[in-house]
Amino acid sequence: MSQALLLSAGRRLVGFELGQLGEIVQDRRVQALPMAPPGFIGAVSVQGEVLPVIELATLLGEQPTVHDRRLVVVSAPQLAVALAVGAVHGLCSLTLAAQPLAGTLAGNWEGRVFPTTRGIAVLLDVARLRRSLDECLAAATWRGRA
Amino acid sequence: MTAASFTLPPGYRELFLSEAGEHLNAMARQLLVLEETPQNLEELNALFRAVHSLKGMAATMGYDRMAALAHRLEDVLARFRREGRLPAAAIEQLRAGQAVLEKRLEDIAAGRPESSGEALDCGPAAEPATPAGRSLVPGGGLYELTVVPAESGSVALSHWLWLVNELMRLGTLLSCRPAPEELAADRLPARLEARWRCPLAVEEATARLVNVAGPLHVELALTSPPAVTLRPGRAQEGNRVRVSAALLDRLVNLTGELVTMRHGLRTALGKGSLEALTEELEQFDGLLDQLRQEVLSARMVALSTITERLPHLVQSLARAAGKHIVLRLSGTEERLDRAILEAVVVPLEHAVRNAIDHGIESSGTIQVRAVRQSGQLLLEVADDGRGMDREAIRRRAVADGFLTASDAARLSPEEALMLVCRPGFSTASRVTASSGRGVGMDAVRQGVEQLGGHLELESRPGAGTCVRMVLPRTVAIAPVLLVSCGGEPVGFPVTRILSTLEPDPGQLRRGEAGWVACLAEEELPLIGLHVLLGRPADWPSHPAVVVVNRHGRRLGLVVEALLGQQDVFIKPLRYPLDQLPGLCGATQLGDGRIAFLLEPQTLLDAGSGTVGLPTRER
Amino acid sequence: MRVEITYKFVIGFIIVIAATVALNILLPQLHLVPAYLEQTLATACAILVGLLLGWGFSKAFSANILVLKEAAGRLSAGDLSRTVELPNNRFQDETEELAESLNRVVDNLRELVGYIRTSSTRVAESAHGLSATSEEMTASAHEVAGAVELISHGAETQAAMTERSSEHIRELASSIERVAETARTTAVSADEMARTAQGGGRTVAQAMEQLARMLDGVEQQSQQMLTFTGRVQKIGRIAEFITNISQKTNLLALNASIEAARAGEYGRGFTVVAEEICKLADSAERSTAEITAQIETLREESQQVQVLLKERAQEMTAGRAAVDQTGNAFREIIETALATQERALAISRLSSDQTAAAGSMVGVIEEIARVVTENAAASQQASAATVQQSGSMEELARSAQELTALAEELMDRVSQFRLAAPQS
Repeated sequence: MSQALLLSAGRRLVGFELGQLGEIVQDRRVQALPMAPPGFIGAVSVQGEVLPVIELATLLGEQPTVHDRRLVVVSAPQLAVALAVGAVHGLCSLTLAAQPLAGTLAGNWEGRVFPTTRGIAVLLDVARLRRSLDECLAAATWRGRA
Repeated sequence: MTAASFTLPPGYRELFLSEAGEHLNAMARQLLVLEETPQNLEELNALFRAVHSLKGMAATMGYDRMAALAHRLEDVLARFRREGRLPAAAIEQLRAGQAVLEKRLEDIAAGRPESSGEALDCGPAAEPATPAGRSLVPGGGLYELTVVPAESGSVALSHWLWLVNELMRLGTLLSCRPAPEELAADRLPARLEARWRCPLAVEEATARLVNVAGPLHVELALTSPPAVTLRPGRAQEGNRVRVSAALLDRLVNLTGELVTMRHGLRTALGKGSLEALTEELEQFDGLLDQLRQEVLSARMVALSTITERLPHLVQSLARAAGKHIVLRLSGTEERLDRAILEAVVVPLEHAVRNAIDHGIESSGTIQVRAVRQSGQLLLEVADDGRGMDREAIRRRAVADGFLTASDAARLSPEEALMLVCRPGFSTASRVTASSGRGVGMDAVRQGVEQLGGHLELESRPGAGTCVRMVLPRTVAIAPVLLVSCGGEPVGFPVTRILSTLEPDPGQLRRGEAGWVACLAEEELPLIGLHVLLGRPADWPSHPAVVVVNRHGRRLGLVVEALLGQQDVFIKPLRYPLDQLPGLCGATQLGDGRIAFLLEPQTLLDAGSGTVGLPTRER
Repeated sequence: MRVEITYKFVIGFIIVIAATVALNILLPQLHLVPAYLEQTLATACAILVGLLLGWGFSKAFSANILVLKEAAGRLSAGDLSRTVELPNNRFQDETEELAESLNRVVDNLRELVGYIRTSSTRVAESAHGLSATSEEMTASAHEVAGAVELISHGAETQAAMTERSSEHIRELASSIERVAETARTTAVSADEMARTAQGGGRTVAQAMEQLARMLDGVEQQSQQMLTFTGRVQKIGRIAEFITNISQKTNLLALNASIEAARAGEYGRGFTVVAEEICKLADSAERSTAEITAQIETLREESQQVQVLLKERAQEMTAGRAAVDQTGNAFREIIETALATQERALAISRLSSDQTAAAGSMVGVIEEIARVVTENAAASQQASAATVQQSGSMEELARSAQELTALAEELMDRVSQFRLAAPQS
């Protein structure tokens, strides 16, 4: 039975598989990032590595809300980012019921959902994140026009 | 992963991976030599020893399948050793065996069970059962997918969605028909076609997709060219570097001295004597410098670790293309920072592949040269093929709408050649025919520029092409010019700037194409760096100017202030930061702030879309 | 060359005869005139020479005499300023000598008159001084006489005045006696008043003491309340601290869970521990949140209590101020009464002293009166003597005036002589 970190991004409840997270940091100085596409709100240094701070809500197509003081660092071979989220709720167990939604409910591209005490959460992983980032980067103005 | 692997401490596993990788590299090298001189007994013996060692190590570690395969190869070798020569068929067989061993080692490194593909269980003359294109794929590639319901009738949307989701999770969907959005709109497709890039091997990809496909039938076909990849030696796999015992001893000694120094510092601090403290700190500085240099030198790896597999790649590609190609290597003993070396693999492979596919017509020579030039390393891939036709490139660029005919006419020869490096330009199929060159040059250029280097092209029709990668030798420490822009520091690698100016306000003038600085010898076009970086800042009242080169033209970047030159520890950027154009690294300043390092040329190219750059190319 | 007048005449005569002779000889030789005329011509020439000589000589002589006459005239008029000077003459004669002796007379006279003049001037000056002095003396004598008369008059009035003063002083002494009497009664009543006021003051002081004790109690209560609130706040801070720690623990536990998840199989056991820590931190955070809420209500309540206490304290402070005022009034009354008593006593003491002083004053005044009467008699005698003295003084002045007149007359006379040539 694996676990996930439960987050809020915009109005959405998101679970992130624990094994793909780096750590959670608090009260870091976020600096400006040159050539930042939308959703990239700055850069932060975590354990000697420079990571972009990315607003998860924007990445998921949500309206961003107030950020938590904590940044969720995702560190995987494919990508390393610090996510600015609405809130970090804590751990939750991924039940076997993490299933793809059937029918029209699956309109928005997250395959697996699972119930939590706070509501139904969408499971997010590095691959999904990377895909969103790819889209985001592809849509950036400098890429589109150059 | 077998249970046995857990009985040994992880450290042994790392050691095994590193050493086995080296043996496998040696095998590839020796096979190449033996292909040329089948009776080279010395090499044959060396090959035998490598396989033998591999067998022993694998058996000790409990990787039984690997040990078994090595054992069989050893048997084959033993027989030919007695005969005193190695026939070509055996070489092919051994090469296939080596590839499988490599794959198994990769599996072990990734913590996967050793892959099957027992193609070499049979006799010496037998061909491998799996097609070469497949078994030689260690890292997947570009797939074409067709998905249809296994039985006639519609399948629930959730199954489609789940499958597409899995495709996105495992790799990148390059194209998909119907598009995911349409699927989401609850339109049930009868058939789904997709182009999919995935790092997984075809067997594993198939297995994973079948797992989620349910009532859908998935057909998977690999379409990318034979993916013999040029990987850095196994020693680099898993970010591992072999360090000589002497260096380790020196490091231990230095650490010991640092520990002693700490006591000295404590004592000085306790006494409150500023003089003693200063003295201790100076010594500390010296030690730290020494330590830094030692560690840095530990990061330096010879170019040969990646070029030693080049002959193998060239031979397989040449064979596949039906061409006769001779490869010449020189300067491979030059050492490069590990990170650069790793990153240069893909551009180098691209360049070689291009030379084989498009440069050389039926037979010719490819020269890979490495030359050290001050702090940089020039890595050249030169062929004696037909070369590129600048006029054709110009015409193509105009026809594809990249620039106007008048702009094209004004381009310098170098600039015209560089057009092939434009994203989207070289993928046009006709370019290959007309320019004689093309695929993936944008990738080469991007790869090189991400390292903080740059790409140069030299070519004349009929006289071959030379792709020159100018690379920094170390990424770790480099002199950087720090400037202030929008209130935050950014840096330029000193090798990438021409000069700096602090012009009088009177020298600045607004011309019709933007600001210019009227200098004694020229009129220098200016661009606000804050505009390029998209930072909210005003045009500085007392601007400083960093003069950079943009495709042979001088251009001034206006910044708020020059903060000075510094040797800084450059941190390489990972995805997604490495995707931002113009960024070639970052460094942390003494006060903890991050300063991003900018590669001026890429930055300007990317910025030409967002700001009115005085460019003549467009 | 001195030629006496007589010789001058003789010489003239000889010259005429010589001329007649010479002509008589010369003329026939010259043949200027016919012989018959020779005689006549000679005679005529001799007569002419005689006439010319006679005219010249008499003219010089009469001029000298005129000068002498004029000088004598001047002398008789008293003009001594000029000497006699004869016109220059080559042949001096007796008139010269006359003029010289006349001049010597003038010189002697001039010396004499000068001497007289200086002496008379000195005499006149002395006489003037004398008359002035005698006049002054006369005036002084008159003044002395006046003053003495005044003194004698004054002495009389003084005696009368002294009489009157002694009468007044006697009256004063009796009124002083009356004042002393009144002051004594005042002192007695003031003493009584002070005693009464002191009694009132003591009562007020007692009331105040009680009030102060109560007020102190209230203050102590509110102080305690403040300390209490401070403690509550401290607890709040501790709770905050705990919240902070539990948040940090939570973060740590989350990171530990992540770390455990990354470690895979090895981390499984640790995941459970981290989760437990996470839960603990969560519950700690919840509990501290409750504590914080409790503290908030406590803080509010204590604030209300404090407000109430403050109001009471304010009321009591107002009461205290009123009592304070009354006490002060009493204190003032006592002070005033005591001061009055003291002052009345002082007045009575002073007025008895004054009565004694007035008595001795009467004695002194009477003594003065006697002395004054004696003075008056003596001054009358002095006045008579003074009048006498001033009479003789007047006489002296008169003779001095006469002397002055004489001296002036003399001066007039002497001034008729002119001693030096008038300054032109």
